[in-house]
Amino acid sequence: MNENQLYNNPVLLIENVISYKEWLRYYIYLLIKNIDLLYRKFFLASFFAGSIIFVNVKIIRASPLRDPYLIACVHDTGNITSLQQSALTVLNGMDTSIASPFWPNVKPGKFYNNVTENIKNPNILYQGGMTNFCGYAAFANFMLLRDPERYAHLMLDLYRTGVASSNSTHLKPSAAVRKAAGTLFGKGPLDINYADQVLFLSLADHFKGYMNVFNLKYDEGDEDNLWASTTLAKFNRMMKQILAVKLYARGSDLLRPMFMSRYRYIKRKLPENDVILYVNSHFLNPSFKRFITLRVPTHYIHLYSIEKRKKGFIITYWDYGLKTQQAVTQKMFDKLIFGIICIKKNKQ
Amino acid sequence: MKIVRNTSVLCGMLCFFMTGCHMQEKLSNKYYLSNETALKQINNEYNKLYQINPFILNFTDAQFKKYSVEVSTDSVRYVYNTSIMNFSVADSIKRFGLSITDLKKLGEKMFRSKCICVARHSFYLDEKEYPANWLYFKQARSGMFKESRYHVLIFFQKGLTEENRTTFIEKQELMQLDKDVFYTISNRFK
Repeated sequence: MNENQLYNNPVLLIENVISYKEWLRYYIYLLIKNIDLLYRKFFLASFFAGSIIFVNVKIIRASPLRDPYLIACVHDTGNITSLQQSALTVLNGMDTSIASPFWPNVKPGKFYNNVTENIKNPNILYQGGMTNFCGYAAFANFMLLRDPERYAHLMLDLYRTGVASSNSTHLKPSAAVRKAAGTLFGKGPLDINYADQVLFLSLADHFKGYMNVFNLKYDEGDEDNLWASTTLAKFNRMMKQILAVKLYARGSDLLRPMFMSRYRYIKRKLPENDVILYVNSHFLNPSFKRFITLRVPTHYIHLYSIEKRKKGFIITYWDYGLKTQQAVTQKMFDKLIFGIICIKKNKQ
Repeated sequence: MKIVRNTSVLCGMLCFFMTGCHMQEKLSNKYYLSNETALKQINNEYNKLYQINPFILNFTDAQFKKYSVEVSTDSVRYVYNTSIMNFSVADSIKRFGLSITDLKKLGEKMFRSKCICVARHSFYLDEKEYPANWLYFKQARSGMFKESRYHVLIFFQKGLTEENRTTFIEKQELMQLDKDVFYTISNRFK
């Protein structure tokens, strides 16, 4: 279903969004507006209006069933910003039919198409099912939102010359990685998103953390293993070295941030910062209980908003190619977060 | 002597659990054959509802009482989980055109077949999309410190050619049960 279609449906809006207080306000407004009518047919009109208010308030009060998610409109407008436009102009002059000798399995048409689509809509970026590319996907999503032009240049350089530089980083993917890009299979839409494969594999090949020590060279299938894993320090390094952003990170790979209210901290930081969370995905997607649930972070998400509710929070974040909105309890939230990475927003 | 034997048994058991109890286990072919009609009904029902709006139905407790519905639009994924917040899922999913009675019917069928989750993921071969319904069953043994893996039945929605079938079987380690029905052990949920 189309998100715009969903929000532009007035019936659904009336059914779901308007609270009984808003209804009351609306009827009082109507009463005042039609005061001369009331003066003339006072008894009939007031009885009629009163009964409507009573019935509506009763119906809406009796149903705690309104969708709490509809309060916040989270979908993107789809309008292309000036940043995106300038990134697209970088691609405009390209000959999209010339294949690169450095990436033998990456078809040029699909590659350029993937880059263009990512620039137009950064939230469609998909890390791939069962892979450990979440860190690189969160990074790429952030780069597409913050500096799409840099992303366009990086991808073009990587594809055409096999190497790319950005600030203090010089990406030079190994032969094994270049051969593997375009051949990943069974990862969902990542199978045909060649540009994403190129970027994720190149980043994983270049940046190494202590988790990657046991598997430094790429072999087939390593995208699902420790070779592709990203620690908090490695993620921060990636952000600083490629994007040259000033960031402030709290937390670690083993211990959660040691301050009283993570919610208050995030809420305070969100208006002026982009916030990326390093989380334990077992508490994000609760499924069948396991005998032991490891209390370690496993996933990166880009947080958009957080709202407090009676028994927990409603969070909106990006992961796996879509914005996601879900409720988490206080207990889950406490166990969820291992790292909070704040990057100051650009003043526009 | 007895103490030594007991401790060695205990050590053995500990090692067995620590290494993740790596025994060969499979969802038997017999299971599929004996529940074939019920499983196909789940597949068909899910197909019908999926056409209204894409979603994933996932039970989150062993009693099949609590569940989560992940409804996706073109740009947003909404996760409604009854085990987290006790608001009505029924009204929340109404705006997507989904009906709770239909979902309950599907849920009951899943409960009878002990299917914990139903989702749709696509395979891609030669840049063509092959959508498939994934029916998740009990957890497979994956080791204490490893990610949860599940026994999965995959129902392909497009007819596969013989060549494609062999490619999928080889590359994805699938086991064929029926014409377009395969079995595997997977940790893929999203």
